[in-house]
Amino acid sequence: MSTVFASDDQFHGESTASEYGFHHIWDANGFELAITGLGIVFVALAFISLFISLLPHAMTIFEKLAPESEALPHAAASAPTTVRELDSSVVAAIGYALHTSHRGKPKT
Amino acid sequence: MLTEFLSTTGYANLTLGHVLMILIGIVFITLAICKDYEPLLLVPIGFGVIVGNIPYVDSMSLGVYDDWSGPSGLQGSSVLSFIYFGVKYGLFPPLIFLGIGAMTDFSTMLSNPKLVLLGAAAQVGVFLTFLGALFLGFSPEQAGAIGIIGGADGPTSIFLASKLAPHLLGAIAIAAYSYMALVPVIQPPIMRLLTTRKERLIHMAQPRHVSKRERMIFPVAAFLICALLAPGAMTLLGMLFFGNLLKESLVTDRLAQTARTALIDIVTILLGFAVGASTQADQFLKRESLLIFGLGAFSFAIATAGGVLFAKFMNLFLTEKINPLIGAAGVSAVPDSARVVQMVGQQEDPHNFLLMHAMAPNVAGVIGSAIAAGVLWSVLG
Repeated sequence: MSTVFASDDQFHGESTASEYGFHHIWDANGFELAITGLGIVFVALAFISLFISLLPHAMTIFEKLAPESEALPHAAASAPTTVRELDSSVVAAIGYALHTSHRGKPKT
Repeated sequence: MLTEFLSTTGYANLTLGHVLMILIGIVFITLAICKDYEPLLLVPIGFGVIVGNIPYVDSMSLGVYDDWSGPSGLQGSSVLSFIYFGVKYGLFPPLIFLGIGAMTDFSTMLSNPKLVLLGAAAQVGVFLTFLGALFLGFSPEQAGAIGIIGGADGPTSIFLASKLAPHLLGAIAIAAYSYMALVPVIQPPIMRLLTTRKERLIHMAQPRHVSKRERMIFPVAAFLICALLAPGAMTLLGMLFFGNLLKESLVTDRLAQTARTALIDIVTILLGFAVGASTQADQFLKRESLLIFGLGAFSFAIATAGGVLFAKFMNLFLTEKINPLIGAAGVSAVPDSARVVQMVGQQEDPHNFLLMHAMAPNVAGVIGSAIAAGVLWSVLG
C-alpha cells in the first residue's frame, strides 16, 4: 500500500485528513454552518416555489393589460406547447421519447 | 546516448501508482463503451487519466501541473496546463451551466411549484457529508468541497473545489462524475427501501399549462431571488438562467442552439480530459482520495434518501399525493436521476409515467446545489 499511495507531505504541503472526532465539527462550527446552509437552500427554493405559485395570478393581470399574442409576436408564431391540449397517451409517448433521446446527453 | 534516452522513457519511470491509475482509466473507458455508463463523460476522463499518468522526466513540461507559476514561467508551461486552466480557475463549470440552461425546460417545475422543495431536501446530503468530512479530520474548506459531491452536480463540484480546495480537485471531480455515472446503480435500492409498493404506484396529475410568458419571466426572477440570497451562486446560476433565457426568449435561438450543442460539447471534452489528466498518481493516490470516494458514496445515498423521505413527509399534508420516488430526482444529476425514477416507477406499473414529474425536482436540484455551493463558498472561501 505504501508503495502506491503517496505520503501526506507530498500533497502540495496542504493540511490533510487526520485523526477523527466530533471536536473537529465543534471547532469549525460545523453544525451551525450545516443547519444555516441547508436553511438558506430551503428558503431560496421556497421563495422560488412561492413565486411560481403566484405567477399564474400575475399572468392573468398581464394578459388583461397586454395579451401574449400582441406582446410576444414570436411566441404566437411558434408552435403551441400546452400540455393540457394533449391527451394522456400523447404525454406518455412524449415522456418515453424524452427518456430514450436523453440517453447519453451531457449532464450536470 | 541510447542509455540516456532509455532513462527518459515512460517505461523506465513507470511506478505501481502509474500502472494502477492507467488501469483505472481503462476501466472508465470500458464501462463507458461496454456498459454505456455516461460515455460522454467517462471516455474523456478515462483517456485523460491515461494521458496524465504517463511518467516523464522533470525537465520536460508536459503535465497539467507544469504551469506558468513555475520558475520558467510561460516558457515552462505545458499544453495540458493551459487546458487545465479552465478547471483550476473555475472557467468551465459556468460554461457547462450555460449549455444546461439552454437545454433545460422548466415547464414541469413551473406547473407544480411544490416539487421545487424536493430539490432543496436532497441537498441534505451536501451538508451531512460536510459534517462527515469534518469528523474525519478534513479542514472546513476541504469538507465544504467534498460535501458538494452530494449535490450530484459535476460542474458545481469542480467549481467549488477550485475555490476551496484546489489540491483535492482531481479526487473530488472523479468521485462526483463516477457516482453520477452510477446513479442507476446507487439510487434504486434506496428508493425501494424507503417506499412501499402502494407509494410507488401513485399516479400524479397532469401538469398545468405553462405560458411562454411565464417561461420567459422565470429565469430572470429566479436568478434575482437566488443570487440576492446567496451571491456566491451568482456565476453558476447566472449562466444557467442566462442559457435558459436564450432558449425561452424565442429571439436568440441561434445562441441557444450553440450553447446547448457545440459549446457544451467542446467544454465537456476539455473539462473531462483535463480532470482526468489531473489525476497523476503522485497527486491522486492518497488516503484522502479514498476517504473522498467513501464520503461521495455516503453523500449520494443521503441525498437520495433525503429527497424520498421529504416527499413522504409532504404527502402527510397534501390532498393530492405525490409519488415519493420523484424525491430521488432532487439530486441534480440531470437527467439521469429523473430517468431512474421513471424506470423504478415503471417496474411497479408500466403505465405510470413519472419522468415529466421527476424533471421538476431534478432541475430544482441543480438550482439547490448551486445555492449550496454559493453558501459554502461565501462562508468558507
